[in-house]
Amino acid sequence: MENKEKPLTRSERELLDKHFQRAALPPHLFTKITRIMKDEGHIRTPKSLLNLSPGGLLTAFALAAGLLCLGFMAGKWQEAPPPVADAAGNSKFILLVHNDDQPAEDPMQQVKEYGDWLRKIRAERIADGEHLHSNGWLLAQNQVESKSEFPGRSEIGGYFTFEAADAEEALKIAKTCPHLHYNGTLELRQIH
Amino acid sequence: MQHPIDRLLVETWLLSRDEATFRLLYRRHAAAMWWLALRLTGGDEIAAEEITQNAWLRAVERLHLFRWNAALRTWLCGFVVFCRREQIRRENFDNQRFTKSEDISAISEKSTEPARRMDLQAAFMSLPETLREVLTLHDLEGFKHSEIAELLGIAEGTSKSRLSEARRTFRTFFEKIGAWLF
Repeated sequence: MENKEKPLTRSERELLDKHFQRAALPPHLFTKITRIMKDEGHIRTPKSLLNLSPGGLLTAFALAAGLLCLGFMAGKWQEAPPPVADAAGNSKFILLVHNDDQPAEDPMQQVKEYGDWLRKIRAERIADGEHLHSNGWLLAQNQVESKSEFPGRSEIGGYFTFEAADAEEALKIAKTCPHLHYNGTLELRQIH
Repeated sequence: MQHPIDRLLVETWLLSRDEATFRLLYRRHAAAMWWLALRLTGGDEIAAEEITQNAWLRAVERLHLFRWNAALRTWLCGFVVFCRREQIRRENFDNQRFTKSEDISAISEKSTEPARRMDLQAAFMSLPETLREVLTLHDLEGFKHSEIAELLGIAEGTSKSRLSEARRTFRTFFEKIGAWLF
């Protein structure tokens, strides 16, 4: 084998990478692709899930709802929704979960971590969580538009609510959310 | 290597056809498809985006036909290569003008730094499409010759000979500016 035919060296590869890998995956591409898939019937609206058989519906719903949904629902299935009344005078907080986390090597492990986290919080205080559909609508005066028409907008994938004595304790709890381990963004707000 | 999560997600999505499951599939493989498209286009983000989009759309149409005899990512990357070729054909890309090594040697040796960097990119893009595909897939993306043969519909021996030729041609130019760039 000639020297010139030997595999590219690490330096050569890095040099090429420097030239050709400057751009990250465009964040709006997913929305573009799914919009076309919906138009062509490759993605069904949530309503059409109801057409599945009961067994298929259960399987599809449990898995298709995704990481966050399963994580949140794991907590929901544990017990009935808790009362929202604040008996102990604590403040109520909402933790908004942005859909910007990095893909997990093992998605099911991520699902389990979200569920475990919610269960752990609920063992000590009133807490809840829900997953949000990616479809939705943006409303303004005399105007209603599909959320998918705003691909650059940050997407909220779900939320947790919980009680805490004050903002300091709420922040302490929020910092333990596994979403952060996956480089996802959380937004903590106090509910009046 | 086949990953059980891929099979679980694909089979679930084929059943449910829902966006959330597709998002999981997308998150697992879209970045790899994007990098490959970006490399095949020599860093042309607009072209790479079109390729990645078309590759996904073609893949989901045929996902029910996938027989799991290869890794899902390899199969998906096959659509990237296919869509890149389709893009070239559509744009009436004149590949013949890039097939002669004389074109590479004609690139200036006395150019300024930005120009030399452009030269490196030009040298890479000067490789005939068939050679650049194999060089990208093997040396940059880490595919095996058996996988490349499957992806491109060629014999393993052809993949190996194309790789040797690609490296030789690329280095013919690379030697002229490589030392300076390092």
